[in-house]
Amino acid sequence: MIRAQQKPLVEIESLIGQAKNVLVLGCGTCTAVCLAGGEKEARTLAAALRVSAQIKGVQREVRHSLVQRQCEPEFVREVEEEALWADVIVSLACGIGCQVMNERYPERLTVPGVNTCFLGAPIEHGVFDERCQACGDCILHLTGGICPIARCAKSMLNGPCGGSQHGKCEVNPSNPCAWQLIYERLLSLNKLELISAILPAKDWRSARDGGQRRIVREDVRL
Amino acid sequence: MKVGSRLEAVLSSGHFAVTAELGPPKGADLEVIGRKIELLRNCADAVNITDNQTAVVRMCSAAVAHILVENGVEPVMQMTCRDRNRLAIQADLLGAYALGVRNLLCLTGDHQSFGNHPQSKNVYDLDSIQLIQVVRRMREEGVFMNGEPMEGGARFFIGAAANPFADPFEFRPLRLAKKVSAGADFIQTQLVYNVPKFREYMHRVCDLGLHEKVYILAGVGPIKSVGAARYMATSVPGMDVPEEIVERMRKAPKEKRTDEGINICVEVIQQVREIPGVAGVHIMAIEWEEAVAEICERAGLLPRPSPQLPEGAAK
Amino acid sequence: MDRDCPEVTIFSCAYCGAVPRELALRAGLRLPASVHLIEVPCLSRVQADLILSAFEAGAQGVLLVGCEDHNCHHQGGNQRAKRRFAAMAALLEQVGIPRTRLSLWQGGLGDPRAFLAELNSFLAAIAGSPHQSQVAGGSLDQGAAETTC
Repeated sequence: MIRAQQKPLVEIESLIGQAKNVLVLGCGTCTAVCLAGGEKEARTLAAALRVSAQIKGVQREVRHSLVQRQCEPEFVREVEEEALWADVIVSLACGIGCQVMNERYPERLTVPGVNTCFLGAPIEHGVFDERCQACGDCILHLTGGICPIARCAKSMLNGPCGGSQHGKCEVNPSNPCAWQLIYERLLSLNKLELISAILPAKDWRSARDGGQRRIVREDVRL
Repeated sequence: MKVGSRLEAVLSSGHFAVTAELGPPKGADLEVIGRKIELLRNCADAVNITDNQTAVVRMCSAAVAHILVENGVEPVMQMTCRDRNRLAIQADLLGAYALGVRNLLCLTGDHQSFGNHPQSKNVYDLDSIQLIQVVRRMREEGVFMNGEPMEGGARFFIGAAANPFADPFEFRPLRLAKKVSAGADFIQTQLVYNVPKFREYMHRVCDLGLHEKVYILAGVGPIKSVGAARYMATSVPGMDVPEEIVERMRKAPKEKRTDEGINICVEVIQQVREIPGVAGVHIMAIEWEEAVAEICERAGLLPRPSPQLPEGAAK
Repeated sequence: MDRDCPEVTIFSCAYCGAVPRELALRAGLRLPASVHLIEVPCLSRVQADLILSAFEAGAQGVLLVGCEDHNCHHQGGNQRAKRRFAAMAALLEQVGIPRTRLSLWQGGLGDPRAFLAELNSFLAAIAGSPHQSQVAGGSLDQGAAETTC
């Protein structure tokens, strides 16, 4: 899922500026699961903004609400009344949700309350690790189910580089070396031949480098 | 001879080769380069010009390599994948070749987080092995990476790096094999201080028959101080400096420590020279180019041979 | 009720951290009217949203009372509460509430005096003067404690 982290309160307040009516809008999907922007986080942020305004003597009403999937226009339609009440909407969804809100409610500015960080998985409660860079051309079948594009600091296809030591990446020793993991996995699967051959240079057009991407499914278009 | 560089001629004629390293200045000062050239001139068959080494901005390696050519010292231009995409890499290769550069070391490159612009966007469009393939196709097929023919080929003697001390140890010889099959002609290794481990690595490399396909130059270098020894031993990933070496530096009297660093380097050269498959040494005296002449002298590496270069080869 | 006594909300674990209630039962101690006691099944349930609600409702300080480190009724709930404490205090500071307005006390039922001392110093810190707002617990043993503020 998409992993995000809430922005510092002071930054969110600066994004709100002088607005009187503020809606904090959580999302019930990815950012709820990574504990950055679900109902509880929206409620907490709204309370924090209210108390802070009170202390600073700022006249401000802050409400909070939630849509199940802020990245889809049908879902954000449900909060029309609250959205139009607000002068500024603080989106606790990922960058997609924030943009969908701006598209659906162009007369209101929706500002981001979180930093959208990466596509990842929890490795323990409260710890999330990047797993995918959405490069658009998956090679996990070649690398033992471990993505070197997302998990190697140099996105190497023929690693590991000389900075791999004790299974750790030199760039951040709290991260495992992706290529050490790939080597071990393929060794245990008896499939080392997959990385004994040279993996060719990647065609990055399917990734972000090819410009904004679009998927068209003619079979399901209305 | 594939290219006809002096380094290739030395290696192919069976001489024990010596390469050294010259770090370009952190500025546009030509004098520094001139001074370092004179320190290395008669010690090495070719001199590596580092490319934004450790991700610290320095004068570009192609320009410095050209200055060496002009001064009659043969360069090995280093090229990393960190700062250039495949367009820039190929363009720079053409330029360097036109300026007389014949030896190229293909590197993935240190991550920018270790350098002096950690905020920068990295590139890594290619990795070192893919870069080797690109350079070989330029030479063998006269084409760019996309298959389009070039107007006038760029023919490089292709080098690659190898780190026998990084993990996983068992995979390192296999990865070297990938570099060889990609097209590497010569290899320069990470600094060797743990000779037994390097011997074991070379044993595996020879078992794969790689020593017959590629010239392997063992990386060596003098240690300047106890602090440097300890730092390399504990804080540089992929470096293996045994405790005995640190101890030797520590026990040496303070005024003799640089001598001891040079002693260790000379001993390592003598030891690796006896290891089957080692075709030469690459002396990395980082910001201590003054030490290279003494090391070469004491290790019995001087004078350097003057191999017959084929007609029309770069001067 | 003394008007000088600050409004304080105590969130207390209902199990071994239930010192305030036990004090009242055993010693007849009355907490000042401005001190609101809310018992929760586990202190780890008390997170930023509840603490902010207390401040929004007018509290000048929030005191968290939980079990001793080794003695959680559940499984490590007190440890979790402890880990969250720093993050919550940091959030309050961002909001503009001084760190000193949130305090965590972990102690057992056997140590009511320590709790009273903690409460008193907390009240004093909030009131800004050590001489106001004292909760007396001197006669605990006689079962006739009177709290004044």
